[in-house]
Amino acid sequence: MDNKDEGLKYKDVIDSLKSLQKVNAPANFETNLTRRINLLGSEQEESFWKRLFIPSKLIPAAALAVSAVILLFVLNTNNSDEDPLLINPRVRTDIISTDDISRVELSPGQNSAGSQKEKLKGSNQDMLGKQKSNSNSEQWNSALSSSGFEYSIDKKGLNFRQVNISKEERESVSRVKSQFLKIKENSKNN
Amino acid sequence: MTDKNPNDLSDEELIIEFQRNNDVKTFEILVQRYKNPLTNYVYRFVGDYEACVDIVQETMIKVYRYKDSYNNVAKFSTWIYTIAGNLARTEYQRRKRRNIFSINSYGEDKNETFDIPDESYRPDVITDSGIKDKIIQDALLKISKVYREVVILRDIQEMSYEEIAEITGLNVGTVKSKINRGRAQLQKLLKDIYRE
Repeated sequence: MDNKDEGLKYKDVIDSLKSLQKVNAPANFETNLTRRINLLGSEQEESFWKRLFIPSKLIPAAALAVSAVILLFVLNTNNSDEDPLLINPRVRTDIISTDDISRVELSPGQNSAGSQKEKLKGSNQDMLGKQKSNSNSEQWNSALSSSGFEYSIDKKGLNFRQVNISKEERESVSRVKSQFLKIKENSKNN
Repeated sequence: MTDKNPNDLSDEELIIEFQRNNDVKTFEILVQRYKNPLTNYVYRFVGDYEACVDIVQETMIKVYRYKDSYNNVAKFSTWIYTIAGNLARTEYQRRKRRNIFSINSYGEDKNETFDIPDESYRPDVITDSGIKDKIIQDALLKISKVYREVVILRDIQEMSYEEIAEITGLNVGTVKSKINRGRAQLQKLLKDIYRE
């Protein structure tokens, strides 16, 4: 009912709109449409590259990128902190790695019992592996005597591993053992 | 393909056929059926013939490319009008932003000419018989686009309130009130021609 009333109220407007001449598509509508559909694939590719390289769109993006990079460098040079990736690693004086124990020079500060014990444990492994010469054992002996502590070996301090060894290897191990025992006796006597 | 002549198939059957078999013939029939109603609808909304033809072509291309996004629940006409309506609204906003043409001054420039190789009716070329049409079209472009869209769909395209509600995404009650507000605005603008 309301719709009918509204229809009567705006009858002139409705009639005017209905009387408007129909607007039709142009005669070449289908031809153009077919052409556009056929070009669809290539247009899509082109539009991507166009979008990427159209100067009007590229300029603001490029300007933004360049200013961001410049800003980054300016901020970076003002930063007093050193780049951790560029500085040389700090040398740790409390750890000594050597193939030859005779080359190790012990400074007075390094003669504390704890650090000496650590060193000896590490060097001991080297000695077992490489069968030090008698001259090295003398150096070793003097190092032990200067430290002034009772030396003992336990499995915790060693990188302990059980291996099957040949007869020759067993002999060489027993030789090193006997050398070590000699050194130990000498240190006790001194 | 069914045994029926493709021209006898409904819009929904045609689009489903197009989805299943990618049969371009079915798409061509749909284009044939909708090119004029859509041109009329979009022209009345945008008010520029060239832009309108471009929008209708774009609508057809979207139907071609995104045919699979149509589902059988909706009417095909609703779907295609929604696409055209969205494109028309976007184009209208773009033109408004860029100030390519002023709606208020539209048609004041009598030297405005168009060059399209088409002999069919050109509403934007003023003839003596088309003066009334021109005044009504100008009035349509002056009312708010929300009202204009629903008035065109109802009074020019002669769609039901339910179809309009589906196309615009509004509920039926809102559609009815917007149509009446649009009509009221038009009546104000066209009062001079009704006195004659």
